[in-house]
Formats: sequence, structure tokens, C-alpha cells
Amino acid sequence: MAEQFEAELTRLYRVQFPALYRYLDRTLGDSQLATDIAQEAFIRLYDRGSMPDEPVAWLITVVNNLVRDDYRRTGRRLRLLEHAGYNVGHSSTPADAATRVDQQERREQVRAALEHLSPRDRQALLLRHSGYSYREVAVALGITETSVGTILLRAGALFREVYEELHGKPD
Amino acid sequence: MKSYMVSQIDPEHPSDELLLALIHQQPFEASATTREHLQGCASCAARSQALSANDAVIAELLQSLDDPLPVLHPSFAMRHATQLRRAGLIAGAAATMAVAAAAMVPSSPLHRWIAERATSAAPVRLPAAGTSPDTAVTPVPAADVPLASGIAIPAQATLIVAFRREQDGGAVEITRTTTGDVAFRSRGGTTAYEVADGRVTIDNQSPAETYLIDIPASVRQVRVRVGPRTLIRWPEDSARYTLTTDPRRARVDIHTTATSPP
Repeated sequence: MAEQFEAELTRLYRVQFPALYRYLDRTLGDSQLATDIAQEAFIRLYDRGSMPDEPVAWLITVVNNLVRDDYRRTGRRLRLLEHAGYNVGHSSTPADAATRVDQQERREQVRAALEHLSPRDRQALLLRHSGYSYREVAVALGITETSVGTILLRAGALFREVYEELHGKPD
Repeated sequence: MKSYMVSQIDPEHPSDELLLALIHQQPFEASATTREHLQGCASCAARSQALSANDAVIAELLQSLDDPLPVLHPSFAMRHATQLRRAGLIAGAAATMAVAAAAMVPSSPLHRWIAERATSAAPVRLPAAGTSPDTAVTPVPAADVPLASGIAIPAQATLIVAFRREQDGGAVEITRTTTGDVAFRSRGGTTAYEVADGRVTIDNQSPAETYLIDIPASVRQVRVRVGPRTLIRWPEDSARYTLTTDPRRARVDIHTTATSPP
């Protein structure tokens, strides 16, 4: 029984960690914190000792709670306008430096546009574009599956409108 | 502000929500009907194209936020997260993304997942400084030492593995796999890995008995260095000698060469 759970957990980790990390990284703008929180969610699932009915939604709910708790504890607001820095292995040629500046600017523009969305709409948009299905988004956010499409249309439209108002059409 | 949402024109036409669900390949009752409708309705097809294009732009903008995905084996990830939790560092962990450490945790249940993947390909001995290359290929039996968790990184065309320092003994076992990540594990010692741009630095301050490296076929060039020496230069010197192929493991098929300093 325990072995079956571990096998399921391992499979779930391999399939779901990338999407969970991507969602958190986009939400937080901090890759290390995203890694830690995603791993913490799996640790909690491991501690739980059995699979919930909706493991994917369960994981999303856990990470959303961890993010909220983290903000509450640290007084940190969503770091949408803040960039945690690049990670590793950058060369220092001028061309690369220029590319990095462009990437940095683009990131800040995207984060600024995301800030205009309501928390729920932002979560739905980021979850969907991190690879989650409508059903998983609905269960995780406590909304009906049929309303996911409406939220995505609204969130996507506002996100792009704000982005283009602030920064012009994307390249 | 202009809107990218196109209002529903007629109740007989599918709503934007349905079109978007179809674009997102979400299952819904009327999907077949909607697909059929799109084939015969130019205005809805145009709406669908506009929604799809808008969705692609949003996806591209959001992708600009992405940092590289850390690829961690489950056992390592669990252990790492546990350590962080114990230390109360979840919220404030330092942003040293590329540094991963692995040590022996044979009692960890999830560790078995790694252990099951352990291979016993004929190893290339990691010679001490000054040892001739010929002595570097003596197969050694699989050690009865617990296998530690390790790391996995996405495969790139070139892989450089650099041992930070010489060590008196020990071996490198390389398994050529068909697909998957480049994976590193070790037996014995305490090993830390630093990963950056296709280069993995192994901090062998406490030397392991065996280092196991799985290298998928998509990796075309491999360099294994020990301090300033190049131990394995693959495939350039592959004719010099070949690793023994274990018949129970048909995928083990690699040619390695130990060379003098480049």
C-alpha cells in the first residue's frame, strides 16, 4: 500500500512538478521560492500518506495557501514588479547583456499588466497557461468548470489590453 | 480600450467560451458539433482564429516570465524541501538556483526510486594523478555501498563534467541511455553538484566510491575532467577503448577514452 502510494507520488511529482513550478515562478517572480514552495507541497502530500481525490487541485490549493501565508508572514506583496535576478551561466558579451536587458524589460511589462487583474482572474490565467485543464483550474479555485472559459476570456482580454496600453503591441 | 473578445452574434453560433475551450482542447459536450459548425461558418472560423491568435500572444508574453525549470529527482527534491522546512527557510531561501547538493539518504522511502534505476555498467576507474590511461578502464564490481540521491539535468548537445579535485580512488560509471535527462548519483562520500550551462561541477571534497552518470543519446560530446586533467573525451578517442557492455543492460553502449591533459 505504502509502495503504491510512493509510486503514485513519484509519478505525480514527475508529471506535475514542472507545471506547478511554472505557475509559481510566474506568480512570484522568484524561481527559488517557486521551487521551495512546489517542493513543500509535495512534502505535505507525502506526509499526508494517501492521495486526495483530486491530487492536482490539492497541490494547487496547497501552493496557493503557502503563497498567501508567505505574504502574510513576510508582509511581502505580490512581487509582480520586482525581479529576483537571473540565475546562472550568463556570459558577459555586450549582445547578451542587451538581450538580458530586453528580457528584463519585457518581464516587468508583463508583470505590470498582470497586476491589473483580480487575484482570481490572474490565478486562472496563470494556471491555464501553465498547462492545467479547465477542470483542474475549477476545482483548485472553487469555481464551476463552465465559468473557467468566461474568466479566461475576461482575464486574457484585460491582460492584453493593459499590456498594449502601457507598452504597445508585443513584437 | 479595444477588446479581443468578440461578442456572440447569434445564439445558433458557438460562444467565445466554447471556441476557446475548443482551442484549449478541453472536452465538452458540444465539441464535435462546434467543430462541425466551424467548417461551415466563415465568421465563426474567423472568430476562432482571432481567439487562437490572441491566446498565442498571451502565452508568449507569459512565457517571458519563465526561469529555467529545476530538474530534480524526487528523492532529492523531498530531502531538499525537508531540510528547508526544518530550517524555516521556505520563505527566505537564498536565490542560488543552480547549486544542488546530494548526499546519502538510503533510508528514505523515495530513495528506492533512485536505487531502482541504479545501473551496474562497467565503470571507468577514476585514476589518481599520474596513473596511466590504460589502468583507467579496469572494471570493478558493483560496490555494496548505498546509492545516494543525485540530480538530473536536461540533456544538451555537450556535457562537461568537472571533478573539482583529484582523488586517490573511485570510479565513474557511465550509462548511455536512449532518452531522458543526464542523471548523476554517487555511492559513498558526500557529493555536491553545481550546474550551469551544460557543465556540472562535482565537489568531491569527501570522495565517493563510485559516480554514476546516465547520459542520453542526444548528448553528442562528453568531457569528464578531474582537476586540470581530461579523463574522458567522447567521442573523439572512442576507438582507443570501449566500456564492457553488460548483456543484461542492452542500452549500455558507450565508448570512452582517458587522455592526457589537453
